[in-house]
Amino acid sequence: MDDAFAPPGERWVAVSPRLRTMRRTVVVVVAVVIAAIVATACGAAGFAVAAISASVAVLAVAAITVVIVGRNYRSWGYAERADDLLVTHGVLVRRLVVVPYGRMQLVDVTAGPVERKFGISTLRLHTASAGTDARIHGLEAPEAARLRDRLAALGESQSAGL
Amino acid sequence: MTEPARLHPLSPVIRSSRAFASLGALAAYNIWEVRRAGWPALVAVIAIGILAAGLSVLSWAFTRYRIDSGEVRLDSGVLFRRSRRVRIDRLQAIDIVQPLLGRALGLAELKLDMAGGAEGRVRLGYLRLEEAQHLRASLLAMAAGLDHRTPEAPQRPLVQCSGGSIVGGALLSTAALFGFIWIGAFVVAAVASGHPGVFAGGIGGVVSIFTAVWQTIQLHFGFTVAESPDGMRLRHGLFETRSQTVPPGRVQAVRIVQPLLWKIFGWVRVDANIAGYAGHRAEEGHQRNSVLLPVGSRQQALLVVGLVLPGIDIDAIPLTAVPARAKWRSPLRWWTYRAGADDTVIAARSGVFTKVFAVMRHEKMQSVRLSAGPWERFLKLATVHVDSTKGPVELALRYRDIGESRRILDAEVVMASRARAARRPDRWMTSLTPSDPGR
Repeated sequence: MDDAFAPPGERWVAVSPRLRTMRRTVVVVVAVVIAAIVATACGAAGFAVAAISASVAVLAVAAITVVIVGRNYRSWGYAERADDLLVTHGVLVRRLVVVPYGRMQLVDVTAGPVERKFGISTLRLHTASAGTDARIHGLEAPEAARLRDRLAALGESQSAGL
Repeated sequence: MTEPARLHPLSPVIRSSRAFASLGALAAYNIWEVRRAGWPALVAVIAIGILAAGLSVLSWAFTRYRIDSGEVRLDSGVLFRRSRRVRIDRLQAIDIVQPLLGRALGLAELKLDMAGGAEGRVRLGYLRLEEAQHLRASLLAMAAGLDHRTPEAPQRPLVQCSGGSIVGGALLSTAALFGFIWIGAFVVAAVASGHPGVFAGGIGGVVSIFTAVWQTIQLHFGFTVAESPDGMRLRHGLFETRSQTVPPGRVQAVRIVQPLLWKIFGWVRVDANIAGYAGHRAEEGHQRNSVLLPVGSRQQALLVVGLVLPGIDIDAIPLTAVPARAKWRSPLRWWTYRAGADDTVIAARSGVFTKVFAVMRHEKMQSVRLSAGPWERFLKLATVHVDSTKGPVELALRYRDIGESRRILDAEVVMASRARAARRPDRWMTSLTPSDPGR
């Protein structure tokens, strides 16, 4: 059934494992902070059992999220073809978008503070349509720059009017 | 090509007329309501009025436009100067708008729409009507790749909507239907309870509905569709008249819509996505400008669609139904989904009460998406979205077999690429050689 989302060639180009590391780190840090606050608050109020169970619950949610992050990471992939770029992602809702190079209006590369720490960035493709949802998370800086320049060049040479 | 020119000196009058009307109404209300506070209020209103008028005169004095080397340039701004240039060959649509006061004074506003929404819009307001028409003709000629002295292209009227059908169509719209049901419910409640006050309570709820119905009537009154080599000409409006010109190839996608009650008279509406009209306020962008035919028979709709998609028989597009198992995904609507494609267009039909048929040329596709949620994948179904520019038309081939969906996606990509390679040039009167790159 996943044939419908099969790559056009041999396999999808995976995004950097640093994306997974980054997201897992964020999840763990946030979970630890929340668990610490909850535990301190409950402990200060004298509910030792509540403090322990709340922390365990928070950490359990974090563990599940870490697994989900891994699956989500594996679902991301892209492929550059002669005339278009394909991007796929999604675990629960599987998505595949095809953007012809000639339709690209602009290519955006962004990196937030956390992404910069991990040396990755996000690439977004914009067309004249608001529906186009083509973004690739977790590209390492050289790959993001290469892809951006290639897409910009191809977009220029294949550009078609509206 | 031309020297920098000013807009018409009466422009500030029209610009501030609406503000004056509402200020006047406010003043009248104030004086009437609080007699004692009348004088100070009146003085304040007059002061504000003079200030506003002064500002709009000042802004007029600092505004110049010129048409030069394939560009329209508009310089404006008193404190912060702004120079806006638009390339004529990127023109998506040209409108001439005449508000009521403008009609009395013989003035009109010329609106140039580029792709990119409100940022890409230039408004030259106000000009003498003949001047606006002349300017439109030469801009269209330049956009077509002809000399700017080319006279205005002749037009051939195609469809004219009668006043009765416009009013009838608005009154039979789904919104109006809810309004009538609402009123009916309150009449029944008032009679049953014996308190007429109950009925009065219901009136408030329908005022907005009927305001919208009235605005539709006023906007579309006297709608005519005409054909010319410059593209499609739409004229409409009861008080404020609007004359739209959409050059050939600028319509991205069309749909034919039939609200439930319109079936009685066999009426349909035709909407379109036009890049220049998107991105403005929803009301202005989508409802005002995107209607190609507000109400008409199916034959009239086919004539209008024929202008947009020349040489295509939309009834001949092979549409197929979705698999029966789609009823588990969309129990109420699965049996209405039909979709298909031929060599030039892709189309989809749906809707139980309001029927919608959307169609788009392959070359206008911006991107294609395939998506399947968990329940859909369990049922081996998926949806293909063919993305168009912003506008009312949305093309989705819903709940088809998942393998077939991927084949549709792949085929669409190939056909779109082939169609783009063979497309006509942006300057539509120049010969059919491939347009230069970078355009």
